[in-house]
Amino acid sequence: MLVKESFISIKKNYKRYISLVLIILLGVGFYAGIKASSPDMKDTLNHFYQEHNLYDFQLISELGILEEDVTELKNKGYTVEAIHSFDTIIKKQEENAVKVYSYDKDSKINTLTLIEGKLPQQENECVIEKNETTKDFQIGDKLTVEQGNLKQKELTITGFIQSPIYISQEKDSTNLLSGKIDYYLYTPKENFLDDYYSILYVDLDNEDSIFSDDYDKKIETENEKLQTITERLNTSRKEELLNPIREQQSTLEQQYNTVKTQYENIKNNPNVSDQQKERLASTLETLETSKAELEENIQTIEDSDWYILDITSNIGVYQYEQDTLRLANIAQIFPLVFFVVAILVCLTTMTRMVEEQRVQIGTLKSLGYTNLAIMSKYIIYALSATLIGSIIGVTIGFKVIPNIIFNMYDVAYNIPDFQNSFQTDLAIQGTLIALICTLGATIYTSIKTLKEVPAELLRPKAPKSGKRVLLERIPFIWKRLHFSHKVTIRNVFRYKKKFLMTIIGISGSTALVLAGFGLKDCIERLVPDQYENVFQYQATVTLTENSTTEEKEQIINELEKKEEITDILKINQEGIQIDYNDTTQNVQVIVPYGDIENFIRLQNRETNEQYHLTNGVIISEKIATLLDKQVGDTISFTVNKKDYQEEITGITENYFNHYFYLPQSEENEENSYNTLFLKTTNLTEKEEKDLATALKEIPGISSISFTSDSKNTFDSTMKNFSYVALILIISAGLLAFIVLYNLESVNISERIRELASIKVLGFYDKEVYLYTTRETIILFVIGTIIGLGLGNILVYYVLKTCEQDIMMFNPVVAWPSYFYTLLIMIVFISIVSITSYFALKKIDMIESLKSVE
Amino acid sequence: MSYIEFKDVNKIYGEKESEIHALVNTSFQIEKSELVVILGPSGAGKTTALNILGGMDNATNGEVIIDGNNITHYNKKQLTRYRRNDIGFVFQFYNLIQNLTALENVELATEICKDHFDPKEILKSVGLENRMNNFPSQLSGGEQQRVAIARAIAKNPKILLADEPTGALDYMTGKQILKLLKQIQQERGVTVIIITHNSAIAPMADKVIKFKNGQVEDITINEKPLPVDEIEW
Repeated sequence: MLVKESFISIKKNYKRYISLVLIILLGVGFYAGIKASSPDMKDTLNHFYQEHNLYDFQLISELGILEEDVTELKNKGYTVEAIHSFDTIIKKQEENAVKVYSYDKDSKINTLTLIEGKLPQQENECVIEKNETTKDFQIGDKLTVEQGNLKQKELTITGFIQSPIYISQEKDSTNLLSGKIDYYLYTPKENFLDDYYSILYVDLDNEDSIFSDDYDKKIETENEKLQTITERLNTSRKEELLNPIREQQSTLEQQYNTVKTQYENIKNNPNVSDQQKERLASTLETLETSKAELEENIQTIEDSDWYILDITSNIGVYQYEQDTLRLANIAQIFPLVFFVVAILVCLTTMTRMVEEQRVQIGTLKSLGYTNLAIMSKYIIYALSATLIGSIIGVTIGFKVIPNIIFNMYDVAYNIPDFQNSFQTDLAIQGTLIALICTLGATIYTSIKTLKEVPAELLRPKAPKSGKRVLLERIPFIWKRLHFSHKVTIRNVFRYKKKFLMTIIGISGSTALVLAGFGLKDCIERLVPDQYENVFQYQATVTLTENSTTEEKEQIINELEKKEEITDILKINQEGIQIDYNDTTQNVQVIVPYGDIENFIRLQNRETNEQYHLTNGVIISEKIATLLDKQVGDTISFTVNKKDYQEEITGITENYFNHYFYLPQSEENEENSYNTLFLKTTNLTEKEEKDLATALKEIPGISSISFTSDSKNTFDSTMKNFSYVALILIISAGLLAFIVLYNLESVNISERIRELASIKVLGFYDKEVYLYTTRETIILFVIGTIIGLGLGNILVYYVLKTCEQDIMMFNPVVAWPSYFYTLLIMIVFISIVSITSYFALKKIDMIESLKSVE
Repeated sequence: MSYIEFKDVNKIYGEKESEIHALVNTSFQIEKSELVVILGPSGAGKTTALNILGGMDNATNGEVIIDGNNITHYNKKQLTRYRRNDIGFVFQFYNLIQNLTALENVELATEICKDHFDPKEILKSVGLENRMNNFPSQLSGGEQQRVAIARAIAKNPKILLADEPTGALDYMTGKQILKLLKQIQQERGVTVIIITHNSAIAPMADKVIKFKNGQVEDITINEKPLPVDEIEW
């Protein structure tokens, strides 16, 4: 009977029911979707790891890895593969730093993905990575490898591949060229002449997730075992190498001592000719040098080590893990705000519903129904709404949100096959939280109501008595207020709980909408800020290493002849590494040979204070934040084996990568520049390309790149990022709408008698509307203002948790975003207002007569 | 022509099969400045008549003429204007706005009509000069009903409609309220219509209209209405 009753009340209040379902749907869906994204991404990498049989350990020996080392590990029961590898410069159109690997067609570990063409068969064939640098390379093109010990140095490209050891665009650093590997290359192992290997991969028999604790433990134990094995291998190898050298050393020592004694003997003997003395002295000197050399050799061998690196120190895997962590961080706060708002609204709705039906509850109670039976009606109502909302919510949430987020991250990674799963634990978790909140609210208010005796219940709850508000104690203001405004102000402050709920609801949803826009702002601003405002040059020319001063002067002369080039700055740019926590940050150290201010804007981001590069070092903002350095602090770093200890004279605005700017000192010789910054006239993409082609003709130019290129690649990454913000705006907007709608409808139903009475008094529809709307507007204004503030904080927090070490967002929400947020909120409140206008119109005046007090 | 003319008024609620005839060919007249009691058990149609007289509802057919204006086919807006300017309402349960003081409750009504009395004066005249700044919850039932009456008459209405004005009050207080209504009729010349099921009140009226089953059963005119003090129930 009561079950039937609850369905009837659902039908009767279907609008309220639907809005309840929708709020739960949004809250739970968003919660589940965002929370699922990080585990889904981890699953995806795991799937990839299993699919490609990615290595668990990478072993490197400074002395080279021998066949016997491989055998030894195999004997210990490990699945291992050893490969050859070296870095080289390959010139094709421009010079690139390339990593060369040996390819074994029987390889089981780190299996390659063929993107185009076929895998190499012959010694003179190779496959290369497909990326920005190699996008114009064709199958059939020839690459010449100058360095390294290869049989065939001219290799024909047979295809493009993706190696699973590089899951991100980020590759190892090298001491060649710009310091970064541009692409990698695989040529058959038969093409390598070396009798030692460079890298040894170990593949454990592992089914666990590489992000799991079990895996961590496994890695730890195996690491220790491998340590023992390699130490032993290292010692015996050292012995092997050192024994002959030591013998050589002792022979040399004897020789040296003999010669020395001879020399000592004749040194002061006037009978021996000066010529003979000199000859002996020089022999002694040669022997001394040989001795030192040998000692150095021994030292090097003795210092040689094995390095054991597990998969988590793979640069791509590390970054990926960091990204999933950041995402998990966002998933901590965002859905929470969402949830809180949604739940609060449910609470208000359910409270209202129970209170509205006091009389009915009283009747049932006086008929002898038990409290539980009566309560069950409301529980069914709330339970069914929550379950329906949760089920639809998690189904949509799990599908849509992780997919969009993965697509956005995928731009930076080469991992296909997104593993999008239905995560039962999260689904249950979200549904449970929603259930606890809605049912809690329902049970709480029902129990409160049910405690009263039936007679009391048959009368509606005594309305909250009127109270004076603080403002009335200031007659100066109060007297000036219009009568209807006084009423409004009193009403606003009458119901503290409702006031609070409304403010939280409105400010929460406003904050979410603003956060959406704000994130979009900050993300989209990054590229133009970096590549137009901070970097004001258009192109970078890298000069070939070891160019002479004359060659460089020649190049500048040539460049100056070009009409398109308006200004040239000579700089020395070196990549260095700075340790920060467990990671190393790549920093570019730039020393300008001229006035840098026209090329790079050095200024404080917040105060816009301009910096002049005269002494000390100016460092970019993010690295300063990471290292916790302020202006006036001292910073130490090493460039080209030269140690610097400089005072920080400025922390400059910069959003991508890290930079140190050093003024030109006496030690920097006139010709030690290696890079040129160019300012050009306004060029189209094609004109830039033409200019690049023309410049590459000039001998001594290693590469030329335009800032517009980096801008474009970066732009597309950032665009995907913006979609996340868009999801946020849309879902937050929806939430805001439902919140407003619900609060307004509760507001009306709560005061239906009061409104009916003033209608009888002869208030026109418009006046009745204004009577309630004024309150809503005040609450709306207060809520929105608080919401804008909260949104700002939310943007700051989210950006700080999700920005990578290499970049920095300017966490300032742009003015138009405030405007759009306000606009959206105003549109929503207007729609809600208009619907409430019609709801008010429908209020039956008879209500004022029949109700009992 | 009388001040209020109710001619062959029918009120039918609902659709065809489930039609309810709340009023059937009802007719009566009320003169200006009369105190009229409309009497009848619940379901007799007196509340429907009140709704139509009070401009809260339209008659299905027939004619309702108030002070020469035919309000039968007034649209919503015209009805609102009619309620606003011509009608004062006193409810059984006072229907005061809880969040407004006594004075403000009166002001709420005078706010919206042009030709109104001073709210303070009116409250004084109903004997509440010392309770003006109290909220309804701080007033007794009788006091609350006085505020409601003050709110109704402050608008300077043509007709004062009182729906069971003593229904929620004890005997003594109820009597005082009736006295107040009588006093208003006599001193201000307002037409007062009291709707009640309590036939004991009838002797105080100039005219008694009895309702039964949606029809006027009987209309009595008291040549000498009794003072309120002399009636008992």
